[in-house]
Amino acid sequence: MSDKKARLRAIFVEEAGEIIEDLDVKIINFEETPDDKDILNDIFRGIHTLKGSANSFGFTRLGEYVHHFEDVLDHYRTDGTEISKDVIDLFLDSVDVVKEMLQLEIDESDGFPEKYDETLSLIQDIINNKDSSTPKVESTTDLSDEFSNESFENSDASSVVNVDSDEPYMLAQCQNGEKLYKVELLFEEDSFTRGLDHANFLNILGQNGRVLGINWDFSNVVTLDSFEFRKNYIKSVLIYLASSETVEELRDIFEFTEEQEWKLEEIEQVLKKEETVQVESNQELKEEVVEKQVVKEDKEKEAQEVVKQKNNEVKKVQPAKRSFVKIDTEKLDDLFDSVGELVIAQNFLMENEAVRQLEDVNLKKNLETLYKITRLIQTRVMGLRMVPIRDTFEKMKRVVRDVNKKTGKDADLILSGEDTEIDKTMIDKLADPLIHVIRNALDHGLESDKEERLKAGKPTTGKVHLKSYHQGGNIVIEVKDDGRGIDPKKILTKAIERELVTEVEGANLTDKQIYQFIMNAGFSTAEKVTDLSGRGVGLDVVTSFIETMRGKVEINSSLGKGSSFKIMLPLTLAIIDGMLVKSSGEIMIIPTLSIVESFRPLKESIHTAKGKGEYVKLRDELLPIVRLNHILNISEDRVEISESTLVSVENKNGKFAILVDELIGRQQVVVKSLGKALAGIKEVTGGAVLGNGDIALILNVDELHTDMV
Amino acid sequence: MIVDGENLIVSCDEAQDEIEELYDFIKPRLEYIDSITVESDVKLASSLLLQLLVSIKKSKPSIQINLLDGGVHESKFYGTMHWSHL
Repeated sequence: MSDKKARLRAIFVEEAGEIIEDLDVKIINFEETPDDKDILNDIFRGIHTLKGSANSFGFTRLGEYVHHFEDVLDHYRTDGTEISKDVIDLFLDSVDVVKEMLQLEIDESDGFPEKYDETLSLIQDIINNKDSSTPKVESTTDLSDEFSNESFENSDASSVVNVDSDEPYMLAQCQNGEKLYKVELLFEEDSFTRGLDHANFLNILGQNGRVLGINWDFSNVVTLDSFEFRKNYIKSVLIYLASSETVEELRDIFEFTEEQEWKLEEIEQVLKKEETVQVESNQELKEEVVEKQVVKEDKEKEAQEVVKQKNNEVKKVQPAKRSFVKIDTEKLDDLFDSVGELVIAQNFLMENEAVRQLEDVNLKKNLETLYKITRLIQTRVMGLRMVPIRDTFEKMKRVVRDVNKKTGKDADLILSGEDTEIDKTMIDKLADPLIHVIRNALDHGLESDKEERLKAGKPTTGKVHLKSYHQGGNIVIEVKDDGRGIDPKKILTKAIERELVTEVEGANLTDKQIYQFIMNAGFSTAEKVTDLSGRGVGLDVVTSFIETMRGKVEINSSLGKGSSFKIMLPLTLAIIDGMLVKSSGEIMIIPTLSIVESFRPLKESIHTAKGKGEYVKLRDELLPIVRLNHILNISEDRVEISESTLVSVENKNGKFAILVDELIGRQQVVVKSLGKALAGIKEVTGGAVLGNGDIALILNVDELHTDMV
Repeated sequence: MIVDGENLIVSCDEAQDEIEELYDFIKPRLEYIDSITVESDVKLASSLLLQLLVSIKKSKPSIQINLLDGGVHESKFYGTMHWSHL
């Protein structure tokens, strides 16, 4: 495969993935608002685009399946038949098949997805029933405007199949010196008797270039009963031609045809036109008009008038254009790294002694401006990586629907804070842990049946609230259910049985600490193991995933009222908000997300347990003390605890106190990888270059005191 | 045109008069034909063939026509051919 083709294939795979991901959400949204035919049209549009692109890239199995899926969607879209829950199930199952099929095609594996035959057969049943049922009615929402463009205004929606999606691929197939042309043949009914045959023109065009693709519109073709042999029923033929000939030279081919029977345009010109504000605005206005159409002819005329009128207005007032560029995330990462270097260099400059002592006011002012601009650039570049969490949240609707179906429970998913922005890298990693937490909430959190809920004085429909918000410089994603809550006694008993904690230690644990046991691998108090949850796998996966993102999970629960799982994440993975501390002359960074508080201990609050280390009593808690210099083998010094500072931190096992010589201050640092040589040190997660050029290690709080519980 | 049991084999390069023969042959026998195999390794001689095949498909949706089933066809002469409104 050539580089170019491989690149295009990769683009297709990415775009196909995006389309498929969206389908689930749109189908569920359509189920919630079945009167909103725009959603159904949107689903149809996605599948339609997928079909064309899949076949263009040789993913024929996918293309064929999607073709049938498109048929059934088209049936409901145009027929107006009510869509039952079973049909929604079929749509969702079909999306699953499409997902699996895409993966099979990518892996170049043979075979078909498990539900392939079942869904295909159901689709065919619907189509076959349609054929024998009542004739079609007009589509409730005509997409013809959307599927046409300025140069092909008369084209029917389906006659310009894949115009939008194919053109970039077609353009990419043009070789040096070749231009891409779009030719449309719109022959009259008597064309064959006049000696005009589409095939002849195709072959002549083929002699003048390379035919890359053709869309045949057979909407006018009738059944054999009324078929007249020499009458032309082909409504239109749309041809993509790569040719080094000029437009004028190609026009000569149509010398003996009527002007209205063909159209020829260079694609590049069309794309350029599309980039102008006016065309975009026209499209928006057309869409607006389409919404107003309500299929009535008189309204249609009125709508056309509105378009004309508004087009004239557009010519006068050109609104600001919003455009988007797709960028490879690797390029963004590179940009981010470079900005990180810039910030570090800036910090060097600001902390340089000679610069600090500058007396030139203007120069100082200029340096400060430079500092502000650098920070602004950093913030803006960080913003490039931030995307709303909405799409990930929307995907959870499918999870809830599937679990409801499987368990027979009735639960609503309530979303809030979907506009909260989060680092794109984290978004990609967040879906799996969220699915686990939501499944767990539905399967274990909610009461097993309606009666149990009624007895507890709750409505029969359970609620799972998924929300996102900012808290103390972090992002919190919370899954809260109104179910039966977690019984800490039950968890503790199980933890003692599994020797995760002794009875004595367990007696000192808070409820919050006890809840954390359920995040351990293999830990489950479920009496019944289901295929959704209950084996103890799942929640430990959540912890692992979240920890890789330098986040943590906090569980709260109230017996009989419900539980909440709070996933706390840093704003971004590339920058960390840390507390700089000094231990035996070395500067270290403790992520502020893990810090509870820092304090100077009183002498009488320090205790030593023989063979079990040192402890500090802080209010009602007894916190183990970790000497940083010892654990990191920096030195053997034993400084007096009461003359040092303790930083109370919390990880999955509970709270403990890190002994440091002094606190330097809080700072945002750009995280740098330590490289292979130091990658094995589990107590540190990375390094950071400080303003004075020194390197500081970032502590991995989760690995600092693993033997505590 | 070759009749092979319930399968009919036709070629893309059939001329208009041959397509007319096909039309005359198939119209009264449609219910007995299960599939039509179209040999597409040659250039299309007339689009009459395509519209006739589509008409056949619309008359009997269960008939298998390799060229049309699947919604698209990859042609070495014409690139990717999409059929709509079958």
